[in-house]
Amino acid sequence: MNDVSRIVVAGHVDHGKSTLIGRLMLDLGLLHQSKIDEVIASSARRGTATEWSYVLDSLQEERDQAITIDTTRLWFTHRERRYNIIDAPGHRQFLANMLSGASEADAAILVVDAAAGIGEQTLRHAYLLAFLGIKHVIVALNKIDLLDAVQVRYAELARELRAALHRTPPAAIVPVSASLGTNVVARADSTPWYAGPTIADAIEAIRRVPAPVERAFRFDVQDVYRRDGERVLVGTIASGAIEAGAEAVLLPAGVRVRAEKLVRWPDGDTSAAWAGESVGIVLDGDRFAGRGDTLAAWTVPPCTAERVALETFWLDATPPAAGERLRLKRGTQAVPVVVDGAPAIYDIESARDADNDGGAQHNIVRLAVRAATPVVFDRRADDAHGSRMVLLRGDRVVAIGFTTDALAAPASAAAQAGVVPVAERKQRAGPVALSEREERAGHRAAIVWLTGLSGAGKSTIARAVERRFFERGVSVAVVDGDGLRGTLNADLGFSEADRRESVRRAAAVAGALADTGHVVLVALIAPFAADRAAARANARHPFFEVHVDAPLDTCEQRDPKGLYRRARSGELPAFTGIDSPYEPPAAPDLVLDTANITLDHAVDALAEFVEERTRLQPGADANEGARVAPAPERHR
Amino acid sequence: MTDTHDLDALEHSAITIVREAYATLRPLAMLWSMGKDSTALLWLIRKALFGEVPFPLVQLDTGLELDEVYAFRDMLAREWKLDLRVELCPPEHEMDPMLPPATRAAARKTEGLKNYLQRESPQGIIVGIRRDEQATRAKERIFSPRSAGGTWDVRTQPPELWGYYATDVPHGAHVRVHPLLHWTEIDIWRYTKREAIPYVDLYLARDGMRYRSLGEKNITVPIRSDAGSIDAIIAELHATRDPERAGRVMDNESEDSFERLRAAGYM
Repeated sequence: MNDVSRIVVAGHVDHGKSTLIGRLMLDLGLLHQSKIDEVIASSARRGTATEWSYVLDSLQEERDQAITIDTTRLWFTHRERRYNIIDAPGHRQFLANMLSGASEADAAILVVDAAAGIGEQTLRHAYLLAFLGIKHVIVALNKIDLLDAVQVRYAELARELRAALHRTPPAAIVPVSASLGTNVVARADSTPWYAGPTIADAIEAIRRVPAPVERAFRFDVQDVYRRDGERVLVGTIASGAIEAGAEAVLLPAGVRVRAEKLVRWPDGDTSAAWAGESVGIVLDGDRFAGRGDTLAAWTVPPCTAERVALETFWLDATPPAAGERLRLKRGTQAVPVVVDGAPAIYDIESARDADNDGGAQHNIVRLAVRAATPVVFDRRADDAHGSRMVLLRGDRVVAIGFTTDALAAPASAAAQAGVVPVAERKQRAGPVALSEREERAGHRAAIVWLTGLSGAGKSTIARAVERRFFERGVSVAVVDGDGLRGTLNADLGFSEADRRESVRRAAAVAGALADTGHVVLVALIAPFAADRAAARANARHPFFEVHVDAPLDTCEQRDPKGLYRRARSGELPAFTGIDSPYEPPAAPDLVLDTANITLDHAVDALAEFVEERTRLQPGADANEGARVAPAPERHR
Repeated sequence: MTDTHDLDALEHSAITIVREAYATLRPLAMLWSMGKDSTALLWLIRKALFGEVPFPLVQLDTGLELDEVYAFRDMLAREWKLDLRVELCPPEHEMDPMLPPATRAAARKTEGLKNYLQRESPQGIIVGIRRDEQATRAKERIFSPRSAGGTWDVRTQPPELWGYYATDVPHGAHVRVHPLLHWTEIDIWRYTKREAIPYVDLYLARDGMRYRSLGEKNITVPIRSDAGSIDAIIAELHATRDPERAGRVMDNESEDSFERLRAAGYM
């Protein structure tokens, strides 16, 4: 059976949401005679015309006051497709209930009273649908039976609505009369000028929004069960997928782990699990983890920070105050936070920033919070799913919204050599957020590390890709090992310690460039796996290891700088590949076998690889993380 | 009908809800009526918790369940090693005399539940209700906080979105957890069949009649049906427009009888 498409019906109070749904049910022939009789009797008892909203408004108080207080759901099948209709209350007082219903919807029907025009809650609901990420919106222009010059008024309102809904352009604007059934299911004779779909036609185009399997892997640990002497991390895969045996990073600790087994009951072990699925994960080495931890793709890790920027819809009557203590829930984390600085309020109705905090309730509030322990989250621009959060005051939810950015810590201890603690590995302070730079550049920042023997072609390929990217308007930079040797690393030799230090410095330079939004191509031999692993582990940005793979004899034959000749003659001691080892990457993200492919091929392959992984559009930006530790692309 | 991929999403979500309740609400208990819904839920709990049910299963007993239902209870409690707690409900003459007769009979369970809550003070109670059963249940939350007296105030329900549930319970109050809220009657039967979950055979037709919903002897009536298998039940449900609880007398005594029951703490 196909999945149920969930449709929320929203709009200003009294514009006829429940009536439209009741009418839809009636005209689709889905109401039982006993329900029809009950509605007629109930309407008669209250002395009103037959009120189809009673199909949904089942509470006494709702019928007496003719409003919907809480969301209601109805299920039905129409032309072989299954639907779940969610009736959201339109009264401002019940916005929290409207959000509860709308948050799960795949699409929305926004009901607007054609006689009354766009109401305050019409704008607020329209804004909130876009805020929640609902992209499919159908407008029902209701009560057209009350209009005189219907066609003129329709054109006028349709224009106004298109302007108001610029964030989510409506799929259709249907002129209807819910109480008479005009254009609800049957096409009405009274609107011959309208050629668009009826409500029943329009909902057929709705599809369930699929689980984000294409995104980077994220798994928020709900609980840990002891079972047969093993720790089983249970939870639901928020996005991406994981295979048994794959590597991931456990946050906020920042340790690389292996998902040794994926388990379910009673089926036992499973080989892979996907977004939306609940599963148990056993890590290698019986590693300690607990509720609130996150397992993530190590290639595209989420942010880990103690200062976080939030964009919220404020539900509570009392606005947030600087210095106030709240609780932030993100994933399965629930962390005490302090409001850091004065929040900024955006008034939805007037579409303007508010200058005082009186109007916070039911408007957008942007604020920074400082957490007691590191928070693990995605930035909304990268992955809306992993950025969803709620704020609590005591045990009350006061705001819902998204984490938008990691902010620099007020003060952090100096980083030491080796792996820097995750809590300190964050973007440096500055008035310009990385997300803003990335948005302007049109791509994500990233570090692409080309490793391989001297003469394998690292610099040549990096420079060619740099040229191509520059011509396409990409912010690109190359950090070249040879170049650094003459400047920053002039004090270093070729001992193991000095090589480690040179890798650390190159990584720091690359990180600083990536902080300013660049795609950074690093061309450095970096012969030791541990040094490259440290560079990757410390990276604040997506990090990709590319093995420029040519055998030693090929490199030695090329010998573009005569270095191998000098090494062989003993002139250059501790030369990588001759008398100092090269440890090839065990799990590179990309392999370029330059002994067997042309330079053009290698450049094309790398350019395409990087482009795909630095794309900003949600859905495509992090797809390599969908499979943890994927088999590398090999170009041979 | 063999494609049950839509059931996977419901199953994963129910398992997630059960684990969330088990992680955040202690002590936890579950109400088990031995009906098709709460028995399917019991199976989902075993799936979520790797075969175990590590908390009490409470049966609110009026002494008026059908014999087959009691037999089924004892059989499954033994086979699945359940920690069964039978809570005897106070007699009908102690109920509010203003309620219609069948509603009064149903209110006995509310009082039985209140007694259990007072005595055991659980933080969470898992209940197998579904939104499509009855209009006021359609207004429920998955995590539904109740006052100390167990009452439900529909106006002040907390927002519930993106899986952030109301797991913080004020002292003396508790949370009703509804993992099956988004399931439909047909979903339950398809899932029961797919997973081979045991069920009371009163749901199957005998002599042209079957129970569509199981309640007490005195307030539940069977419906006309020839459905002698789960497949036949599903086919029947696809065709019918009769509401599921048509055989429950108390729902239909007055416009708001079920709402009044629920506001007072009924399931």
